[in-house]
Amino acid sequence: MIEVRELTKTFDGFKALDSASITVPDGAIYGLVGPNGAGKSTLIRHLTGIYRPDSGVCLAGGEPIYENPAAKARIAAIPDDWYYFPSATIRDMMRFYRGMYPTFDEKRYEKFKDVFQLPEKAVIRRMSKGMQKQAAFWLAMCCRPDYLILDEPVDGLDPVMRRQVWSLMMGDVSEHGTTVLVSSHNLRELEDVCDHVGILHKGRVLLERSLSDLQDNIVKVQTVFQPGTVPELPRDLEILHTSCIGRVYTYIIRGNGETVGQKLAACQPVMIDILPLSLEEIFIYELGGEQYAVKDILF
Amino acid sequence: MPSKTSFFNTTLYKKLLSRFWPMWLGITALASLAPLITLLELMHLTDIQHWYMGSIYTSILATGGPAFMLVYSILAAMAVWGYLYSPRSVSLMHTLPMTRTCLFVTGCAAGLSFLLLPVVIAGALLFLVGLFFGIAAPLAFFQSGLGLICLAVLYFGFATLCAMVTGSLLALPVFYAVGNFLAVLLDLLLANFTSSFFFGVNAAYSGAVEWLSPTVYIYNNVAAKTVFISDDVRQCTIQGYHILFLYCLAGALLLAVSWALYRCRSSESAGDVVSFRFLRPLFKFVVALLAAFSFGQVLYLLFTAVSVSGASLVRMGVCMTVAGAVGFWIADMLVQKSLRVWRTTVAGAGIMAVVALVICLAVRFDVFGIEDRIPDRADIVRVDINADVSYLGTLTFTPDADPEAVDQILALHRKILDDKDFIRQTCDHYYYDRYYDRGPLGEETSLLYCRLAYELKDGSQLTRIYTLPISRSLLADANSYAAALDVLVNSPASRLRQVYYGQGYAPTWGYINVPQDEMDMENWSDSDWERYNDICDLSSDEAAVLYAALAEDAQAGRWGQKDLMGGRGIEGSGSTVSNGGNVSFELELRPSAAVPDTEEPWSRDYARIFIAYAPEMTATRQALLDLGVPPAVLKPEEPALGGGSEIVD
Repeated sequence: MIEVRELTKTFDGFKALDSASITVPDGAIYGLVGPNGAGKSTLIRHLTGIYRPDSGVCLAGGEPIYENPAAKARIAAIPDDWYYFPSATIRDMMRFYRGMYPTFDEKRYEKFKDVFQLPEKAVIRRMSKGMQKQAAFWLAMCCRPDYLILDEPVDGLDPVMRRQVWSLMMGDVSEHGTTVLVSSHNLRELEDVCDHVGILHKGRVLLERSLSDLQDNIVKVQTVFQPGTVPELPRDLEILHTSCIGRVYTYIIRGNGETVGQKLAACQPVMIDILPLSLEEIFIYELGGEQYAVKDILF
Repeated sequence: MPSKTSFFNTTLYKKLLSRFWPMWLGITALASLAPLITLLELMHLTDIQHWYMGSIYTSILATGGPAFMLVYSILAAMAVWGYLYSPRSVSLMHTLPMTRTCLFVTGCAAGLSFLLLPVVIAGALLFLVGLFFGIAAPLAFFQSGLGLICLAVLYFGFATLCAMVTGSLLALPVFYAVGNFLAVLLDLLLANFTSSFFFGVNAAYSGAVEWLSPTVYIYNNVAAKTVFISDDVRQCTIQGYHILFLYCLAGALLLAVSWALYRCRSSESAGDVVSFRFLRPLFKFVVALLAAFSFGQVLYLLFTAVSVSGASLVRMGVCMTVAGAVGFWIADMLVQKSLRVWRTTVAGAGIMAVVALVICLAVRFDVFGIEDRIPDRADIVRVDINADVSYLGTLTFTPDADPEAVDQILALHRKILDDKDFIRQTCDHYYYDRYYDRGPLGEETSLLYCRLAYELKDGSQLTRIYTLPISRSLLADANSYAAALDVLVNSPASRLRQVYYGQGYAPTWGYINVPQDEMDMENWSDSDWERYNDICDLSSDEAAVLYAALAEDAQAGRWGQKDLMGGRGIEGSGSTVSNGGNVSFELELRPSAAVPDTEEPWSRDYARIFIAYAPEMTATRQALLDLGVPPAVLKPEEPALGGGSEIVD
């Protein structure tokens, strides 16, 4: 399990993380989402032992990560801008990783040659961004980590390779119980793979739930009322957003779909349709409550 | 396989060596030129001395070693610690399952390997060359090798400290270069600054903190020496060898400090000029102060004329303030990585302005009493006086042996300080007034350099150098500094000191230069030559007689009289130029008893004086007559300009 408790980090007076806390259960795929500058990369750099926390703790398997080689040996990370030695080939980097990680699986490295089909002896610097990303995945997954921490992992990969990479990761999760924490802005993709989600905003964790809980807790309601009447909705409904097109009213309401439906039925609508929200919609409406909404600006 | 130790990582070590192989292999190839050159040289030598290789080893250590390590260490440090300066690379290295200690130790091992691999390989080749010719000199080889290791630890330690303090690869060599020579630089700047303000303070480099600039200190204090044991036996040693070990300890200490810094260094400091927050204000003010002292003085020199009367407080203050503020602004921009730092710079520049003004005021008004300091007589061990009076040389006096002379020097010093405003003003107008063919004092005036150097009981030295205007009226005024200097220079003690009389020396040999055309000899037969040589060559006893006569004349004022107005003859001065028509003599002096410690080391073994005879030197004349110089040769002549004695090593 990865645990972050009350983590705070300040850079030259700017609080990048403000008492952030997350918990990633063992064997989970945890999606860390948030707007630009929310502190996702900072959190990830703490989880990989790069940054020292100003306060709070980061634990992997119950052990602190910073300056703990035993804990770090169980973690593999693919940052957004993966570093390789300037004149190194994939094979050179493999030898380096093999020397560093006790669990490095050389057989797996050989097997993945067919999967990634990269020129092993070509200088990484001369490869495309997507190829470099594939190389990073290749090496990271050969480390056989208990914890895989990824920052924008599939950015730059083609759709086939994206699916390939996710498939490999899902395989590791199901077969070896690998815990994955992934930060991405591609919510559509995360929705397909993640079972837990945490939303970070301005250095704080807004919410953290399993994806099913999250989707159960917020609903989109489309309703049509009697002509000429717009009844007052029950006061105990937590409405996050309202819009109206013709006679169709659309509400984003926090709460269980069944409960919300029962309460709205009291208003005797002509039609009521309760829909689940996508992760992207949840993200947008949750952050809308935090003054991070799409602005209607006219020029 | 992953390393099993927690403080050293073999994979990383090998990676560093393999990544930077062109550097250390290139340097090794360059260093290997030394054995190659030695080999070629030895092949052409017919008589190979056994000490030859020893002198090569020690010379490499003392001459090439410091410069080689100085330059190569920073390259090694840039290679090894380069990952700290990019957020991407530092992220990779700090993600690896290693502690910072492990990273540091491995990095240090790799860096020192870079430095020592060329030394080991080139050294081994050199040793093999020596072995081949049977002159391997293993002791000198071992000593020199050990010395180079000490230098490697020192320079790599400092380069590593700089690497930890900064987060910028460009700043690293700058910090390293400035740090290596900062002490010497500050010494020179402060000397120049204080001499701009203080009347009489010497602008020379003091070297008081030179040990903080190891390269300069090592070059000044560590040297390869060849000791002559007998005609064909020599031993090669390294003077100041212990200094290398002390610096090695300092290097180890710097590495320990660097390790402590690395443990608390933030990865996010990659790219920052100064990687520790607590050092940033210090960095800004050090840069500002350096700028104030260096560029402030440059600005001052650019916009004002050099003046003997001292620097202008206002102008120097303005120049230092401007330079300091600019320095602070640049440092602030570097720290904040932004050009928009006016708001924060204003406060810092304001502080700098105040500091510069306080320094200028404190120095100008001599808050610490430096300018007016005259040592207590009881604190003086010895005092040297030197003035640019012809053939005067440096006169040394001690309170025990020459109480009167020491009192005269103290009185002279006091009078100079009492008249310092007059001296400054007169000197300032000297060249201007001379241009218009008049002296600043309304009469013929000359400037006389005068140096007073006190050695004090606490081991310190106090040196003052004055430029003094001298004129006939000043010399005639008994209360003036000019008269005091005149009395001192022309005292019997000064005159006797010029010929080392009473200092434990005795003449061992002498030669009288008698012009041959003045001799009453026409044919110059063998017997004439024998007679002539008999007159000219002096035994030690004959030389002693002449030396005593000279001392008698000096004591009585018939020899050694000096004119402070630039050697214009004074009646009865007794000084003449030795020209073709005059007699002169030369005496070689060696210590007959213990020479006082006050004498310079070079003169403790040997001194030689040349004296031009003048008619008023009656005692000397009589001695020359007694030694067989024909009376006709010693005919009275008009005194000529200048002259006196010259003392050479």
